[in-house]
Parts: sequence; C-alpha cells; structure tokens
Amino acid sequence: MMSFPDLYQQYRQMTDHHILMSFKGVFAQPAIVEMASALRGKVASRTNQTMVMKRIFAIFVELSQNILFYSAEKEKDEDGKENGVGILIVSEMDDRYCVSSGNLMYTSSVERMRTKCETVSSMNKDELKVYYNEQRKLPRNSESKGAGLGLIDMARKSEYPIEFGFTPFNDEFSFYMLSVYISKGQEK
Amino acid sequence: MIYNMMLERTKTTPGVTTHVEDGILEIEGELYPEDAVGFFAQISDWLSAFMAEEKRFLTVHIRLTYFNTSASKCVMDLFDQIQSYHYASGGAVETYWHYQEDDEDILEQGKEMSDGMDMKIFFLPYT
Repeated sequence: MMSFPDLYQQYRQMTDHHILMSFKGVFAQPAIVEMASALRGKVASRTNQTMVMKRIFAIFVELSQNILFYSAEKEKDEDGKENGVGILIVSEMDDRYCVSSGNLMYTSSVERMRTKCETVSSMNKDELKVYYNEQRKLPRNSESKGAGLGLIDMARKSEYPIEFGFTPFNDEFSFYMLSVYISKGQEK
Repeated sequence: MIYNMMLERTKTTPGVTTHVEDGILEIEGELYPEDAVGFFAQISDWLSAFMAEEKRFLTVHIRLTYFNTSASKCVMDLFDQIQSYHYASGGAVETYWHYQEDDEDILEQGKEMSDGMDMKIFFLPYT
C-alpha cells in the first residue's frame, strides 16, 4: 500500500495560501540562482512594476544566501563543500508579497541576533540609511561576509518593518525566522 | 603594455572588459556570486597593474543591474582603489555609474557610495 504523508494536505494548503515558491533543503549557490531566476519570471507575470520585481528578487537572494552561509545546519555536497540548510517561502497577499526564511542557529547566538533584528525593525528609513552606510565602512569579519549589511538592506527595500522570531529546536539549536514584505504598490 | 582582461558575463557575475590602450575598464551585469571577494580580486589585480605600469588616464564604466550586500562592500573597495589612483595621479580617473532610468535602488546605492568619497562619480541613466 502506498503512503503519501500529508502530501495533498500540504499542496492544498500552499495553494490556498498563494505560495509562489517554497523550498526546504540545501541552499547551494546553483540552486539559489535557478530559483531566483524562476521567481523573477513568476513575479514578472504578476506585476508590471520593475521595482517590485527587483526588490523581491534581491530579498530572495539575500535570504537564500543567508541560509547558505549562516545556517547552523550544514550538509556537504559531492565535493565536500558545506552548504546551509533551511526553508524559504515566497507568498502573495492582497496588498503585498512576503518572503520568509527559516533556519537553525546556535541558541547561544539568539540574543545577539534578536538585538540586531530589534534594532533594524525599530529604525525608520533615514536611520536605516545612516546605519547601513556606517556598517558598510566596517571591515569584514569571520562571522559575516557582508558585515551584517543584508538585514539592513532588506529593511530598506521594504515598506514594512521586518518580522522575526526564534523558537527552541533542541538543546543546542533554535529556529530563526525572518519575514520581509514588499508592497504591491499601484499598478501602472 | 599590460594584459587586457575579459571575463564573460555569467548569471551571478558581470562581464568585465578592459581596453588598456584607451585606459578603459567596463563592468556590466548582475553580481551575487558566492564569493564576491574572490571575483573582485581579479579586477583589483588588473587595476593595480594598470596603475603601476600604465600610469595613464583611466575611465571606469560600471553598469550593474543588481548586486548583493556582500558585493556592495567589494564595489566600495573598488572605488577606494580607483580613488587612490585619482589622487595619486592628479585626477586621471573618470568613473561613470550607469543605472536603468527607473531603478531608484541602483541609483541610490551609487549615490550613497559617492557621498562618502572625495572623487566625483558621474551618474548616467539608460533606458
């Protein structure tokens, strides 16, 4: 007897929630590039606004590469290269698009990350601009390839505050969730 | 004369072309490779060679349609290098930042980088 664990239920739910794209697994760069390209096509068929398209693309790439580089859950590919594991979902709402990512991180780093997210989500556009340009001048460090610019950049591209959350996964890890919204704006 | 550089454009790295005899460096495309630093090292090496051996007027054209935040630091580093030549050589550099007419994000990114520099950058829209 065949068994399909929740498969139809998941499909139905994702359809009902207007999920444009979802992926759970290894975020290797070639996969990110292909998904980003497919997403661009999908969004292009829904809007004629260049900036909406470009910003969704940018946020998708930034969140995907965050998982690739910083997820605490790693898998080795055939060549022994480590890539991060996580989940990413792009969905369409009435007035906006939502890009959400989730991945494991060490629980010991949660408070530092939470503070960073709170700082960014509390800032207005002008404050974000100043903060971004300050951070960009800082030297790279081993923890971050972009000196932590990604979060600030995404907040700047969005008309809404970033949303974030952390939930315990096991003794060592927590699950870190981040959502970034892009307004549909006015169709031309 | 030093070597010319020619990098084919890929989905995640821009095409890079140089014309040593005319002192031109062109960068055009999208930029979100896994290793932006490694990619830019090639450009930086060419620039260093040009600055050390050619010592002539240099025109830089940058026409990027998207770059990720990691790459944005690399672009800043590139500007730092260009700017150091600009002043060391008494102003023998012109830098052009090309942006798609309605792409406010790319224009803004360029302006903000330019704000932090003494060297002037020219902004040119295209359709």
